Amino acid sequence: MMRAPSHGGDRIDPPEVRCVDVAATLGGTRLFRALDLEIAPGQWLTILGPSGSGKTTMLRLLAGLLEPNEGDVLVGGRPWARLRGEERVSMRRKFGYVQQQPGLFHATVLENLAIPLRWRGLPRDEASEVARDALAAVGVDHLASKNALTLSGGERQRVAFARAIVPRPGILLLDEFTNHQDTERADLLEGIVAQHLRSGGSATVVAHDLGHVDRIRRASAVDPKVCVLLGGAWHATGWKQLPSLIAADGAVGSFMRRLPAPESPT
Amino acid sequence: MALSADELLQIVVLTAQVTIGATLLGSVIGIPLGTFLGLSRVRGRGLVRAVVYSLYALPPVVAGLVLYLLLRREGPLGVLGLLFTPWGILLAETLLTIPLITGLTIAAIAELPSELAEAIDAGGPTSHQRFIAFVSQARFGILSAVLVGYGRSLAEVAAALIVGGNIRGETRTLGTAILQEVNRGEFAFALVLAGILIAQAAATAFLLYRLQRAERVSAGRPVLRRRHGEGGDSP
Repeated sequence: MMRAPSHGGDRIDPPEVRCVDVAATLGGTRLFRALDLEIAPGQWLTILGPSGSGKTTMLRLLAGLLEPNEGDVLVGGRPWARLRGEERVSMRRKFGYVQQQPGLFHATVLENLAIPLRWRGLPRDEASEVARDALAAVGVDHLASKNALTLSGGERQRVAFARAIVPRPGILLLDEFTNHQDTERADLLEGIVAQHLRSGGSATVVAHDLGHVDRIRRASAVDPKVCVLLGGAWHATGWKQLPSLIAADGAVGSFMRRLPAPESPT
Repeated sequence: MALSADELLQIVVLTAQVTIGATLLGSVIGIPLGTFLGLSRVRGRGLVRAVVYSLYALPPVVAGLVLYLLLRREGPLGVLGLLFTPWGILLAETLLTIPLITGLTIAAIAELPSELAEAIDAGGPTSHQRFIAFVSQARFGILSAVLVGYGRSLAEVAAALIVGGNIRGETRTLGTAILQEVNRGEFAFALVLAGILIAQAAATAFLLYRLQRAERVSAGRPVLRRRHGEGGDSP
């Protein structure tokens, strides 16, 4: 199993994340309302749903990059909206966010990882060394001196993944992070996430494939919570209750039955 | 009487000092201000941006007139003694350059891809680190803003004439000297001066072109290739 890249320090303790009566709209369309969810330290959540159902918006809410229209997202027991200055920066650094469309810096691949490390106070040389190790862990170290904007989609995704995980955040927010990856590379990234979970980290993973979720579950030996966003509503359950969700009548059951299934859901 | 070589040199040097100085001062003020306004979510930012953009179109002759009234001996800033001095021209050119550099910096920040802006925020920078990161990522647009600001101060005549007074050997710049030579019917000398001015403007335009090309190349976007298989430096 590939070891998670790190800067040698301890992983930051994951904060408790809780959505309380959260509603979100996008472009005038209500995505979901009255959302109540908790991701306790060491837990992980997978978000499922069709395109446009609000999965990415939910990740942004959890990361504090977006304010909910109603309700609060509590991190470490306090609303994101009330965190200011150093407290907000410190909380932000507990999160590692991989976007669906990675926003890489107009800089070399190595600098893309070294910049956030230097923000955390690592000296330039040490940041570069740690960044190089992290690139090797996801198989893109040969691209270190290339401009990140010249990479292919799959390479960009792996650089963004390495950038998010290298400061050893407590909670990972991953938006379809194995997009554009072949099976071998998807396994590699899933293995790193599983190792993060085994070591007590938290995560929220947006997925389109239950097999992908199941592989992380098996490798980490930690069952996820499942949240389905569909038609302006949400449905949450534990992994062990997944068969009843798949067998359910109506739109949710119908949606779940169309997803690529895991080999063994329990 | 025609311009002597020494006088021509003095005019060229003063013009360079004023235009480069105004560009540097305009950048020192305009880049941080534009970045702040580009990133700011505070109430009233739209109004401030509207004021900055409207100052783009501020006629230099009006700016010169206002500055003249402020700087003349009886004016509120008369005690500074800047009227009809190179410092007065520098002040006028700086004031005309600031809105351009500020506005184009706002645009450069706004044009950054939303996923890049989100990635910067998600990376956990302090407010100072965030500021530097945005300036760094918008560097090509901001450098273009600086060059456009330089171009404006180079082309400007009216404010320099009103505030500087076109005093021979003291406040005569290339622009005001051309006016002087035209008024005297010395078109040959006016054309020589215009040629020097055009050379500087062309150098600025060339730098802008190279900058945009460098950005496209480093970002892996296609640039026009030379014909006949000469190739280019596009990837």
